[in-house]
Amino acid sequence: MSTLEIRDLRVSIDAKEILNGIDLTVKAGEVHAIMGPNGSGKSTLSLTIMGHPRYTVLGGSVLLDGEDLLSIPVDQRARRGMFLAFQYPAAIPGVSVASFLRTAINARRVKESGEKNDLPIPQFRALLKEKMKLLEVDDSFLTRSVNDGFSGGEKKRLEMLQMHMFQPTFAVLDETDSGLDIDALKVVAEGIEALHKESAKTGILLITHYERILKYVRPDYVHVLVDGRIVRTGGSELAAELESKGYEFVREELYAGQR
Amino acid sequence: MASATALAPLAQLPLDRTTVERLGHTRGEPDWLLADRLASLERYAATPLPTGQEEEWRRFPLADLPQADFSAPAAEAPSEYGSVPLGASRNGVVFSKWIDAVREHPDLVRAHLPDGSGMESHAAFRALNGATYGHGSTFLHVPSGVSVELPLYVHKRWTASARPIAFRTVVVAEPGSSVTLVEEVSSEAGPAPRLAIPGLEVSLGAGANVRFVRIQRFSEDVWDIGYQRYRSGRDSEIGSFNVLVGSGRSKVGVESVILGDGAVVKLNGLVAAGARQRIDVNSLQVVDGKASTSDLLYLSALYESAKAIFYGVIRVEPTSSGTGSYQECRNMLLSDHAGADPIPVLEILTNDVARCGHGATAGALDDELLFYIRSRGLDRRTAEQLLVRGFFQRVINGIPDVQVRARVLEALVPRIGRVAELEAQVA
Repeated sequence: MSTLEIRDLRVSIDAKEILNGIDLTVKAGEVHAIMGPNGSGKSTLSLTIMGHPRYTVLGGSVLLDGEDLLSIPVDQRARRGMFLAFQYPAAIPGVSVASFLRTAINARRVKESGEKNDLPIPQFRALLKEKMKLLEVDDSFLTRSVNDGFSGGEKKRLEMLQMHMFQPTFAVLDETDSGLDIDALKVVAEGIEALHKESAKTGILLITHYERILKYVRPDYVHVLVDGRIVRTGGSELAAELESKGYEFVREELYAGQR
Repeated sequence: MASATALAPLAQLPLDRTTVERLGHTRGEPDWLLADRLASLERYAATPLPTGQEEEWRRFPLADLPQADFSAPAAEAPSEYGSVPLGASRNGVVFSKWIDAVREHPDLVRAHLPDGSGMESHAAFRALNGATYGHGSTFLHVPSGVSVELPLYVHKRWTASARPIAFRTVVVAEPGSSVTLVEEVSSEAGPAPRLAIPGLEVSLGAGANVRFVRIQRFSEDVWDIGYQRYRSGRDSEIGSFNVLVGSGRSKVGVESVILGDGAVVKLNGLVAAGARQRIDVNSLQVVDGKASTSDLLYLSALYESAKAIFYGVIRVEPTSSGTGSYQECRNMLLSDHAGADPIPVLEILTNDVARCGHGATAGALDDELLFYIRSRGLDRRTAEQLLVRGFFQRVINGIPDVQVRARVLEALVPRIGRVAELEAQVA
């Protein structure tokens, strides 16, 4: 069973320390929600796990089944089974969704030796159609340029479609729920459930500001991230508590002893 | 009077009457054609080569212009012509080597001989071409009202040789006709730099519709100092596509002149250059008539130490009304050593303009975009290929025929690989 292990992770951006020692272990098939106010370090955590060059790792480690991820570039992390659903997915003018997905699928199938192992087109088509149906993605998506002129909701749907196409071992969802109306939210939530429960046993790190999505996706663990540290961990009831009491409550509780 | 006196001010490019006459005789040309060559020679003698002071030539040093020995024997090199569809040839379409067209349709060729006029910046090289053109020259004539449905192809190859590459392509689309011509040019690398002067003249009668695609894959020893001239009649439509991937140095003059109302001109270019290539395009869009449009779109992907220079002029004539024109030049820099220098000039000589403008950019790849693509498992090289492929899509989309598009993509394989080629089969 696969394990993603984050140990004492400390990260800075522009010489400012954002994460001051994160410890977190996610196992295959588990859903971990990470909740926190704006500026708590949520996006830093997700982008660092994936290897964004803007962030400097000051210390600690991120291990996938014991293998160090921090020393390899982003594309290799992806090919090892990591996936990040972006909060702000980038637009790629002139590249259709269909050809992007096909290029990505084939890039992930290249063997260690460098030998190509392209997925034959009929199989690719069948896989794509199946996932599109599951996520209620319209056919017109395929010929449009990736995220170019997409609404916020469409972008998030495309992130989910990619996640389902790639079947990652671990997926980090960076505020995938923000900017979605309730119907889209349900589709995304069902997509998450389907992926981690049934097919791929994907371990999920669901990073969110709001408790709303947790009505549809039931996390195994909820972690509260404040000022670059996980200050509380609990079950799904913790999300409800945060919703009623707010993040200030946690912060006050956290710093009470220091005053 | 036949002497070896150099007629041009630059000693590198001497050309005498004997050489020109010998060329005409070798090719079995009739007197009227030889007279035309000699008229070009006279123009060449009277037209100094650029000094480098001209705005168009300031960024293209001519000091190292290769020796051009026009008296050297022409290299035997094949040109492959695709066949003319049966229906089209029954309708009187002529598509052949220049030398064959002169023999079989002398009156037709004579009626459509280029008169030597055109943009000033390339006047000397145009005259030089008119005196020396030879192997690789093509004549295409489409009679009134005839539509050639399938694209016509010609591939011109030059073997390594000391002789310069000089050829002309003349396309005449009579009123109401329609045709697509794809011309691919390539050469075998030789030991020393050599000059190429490809000349192109396309004329469109009223309501004619022409697509011209040039795929230039010259070897790196070639200096391509070509010129292209498009003359558009009333309600005609020209779509031109220049795919520039070869040659160490290119200085291409692209001229479009609108001669009637309602003409539509679309000038497109794709440049994919690397190593120490210097691709310099200068365009002149002359806009005239009522409600005509002239739009230029050149996209360059520049690798390694490649440089792209684009000096383009739009001139909206005082006699025009309600015209639209645009010049757009975008450059993607894939290396810190690559560079681009787009220079737009607008001369609007009337107040009656529907639109006229320009857009020019040069920029490196967006890091966030690159990170996003790589996060899907694409290594840096594949991600770059995908981005360039997407960047080129606006021009590739405009290529009307799937097979022509495939040819263009094939020429770009050294740069963009075969990334995203299968989308039509997927969607």
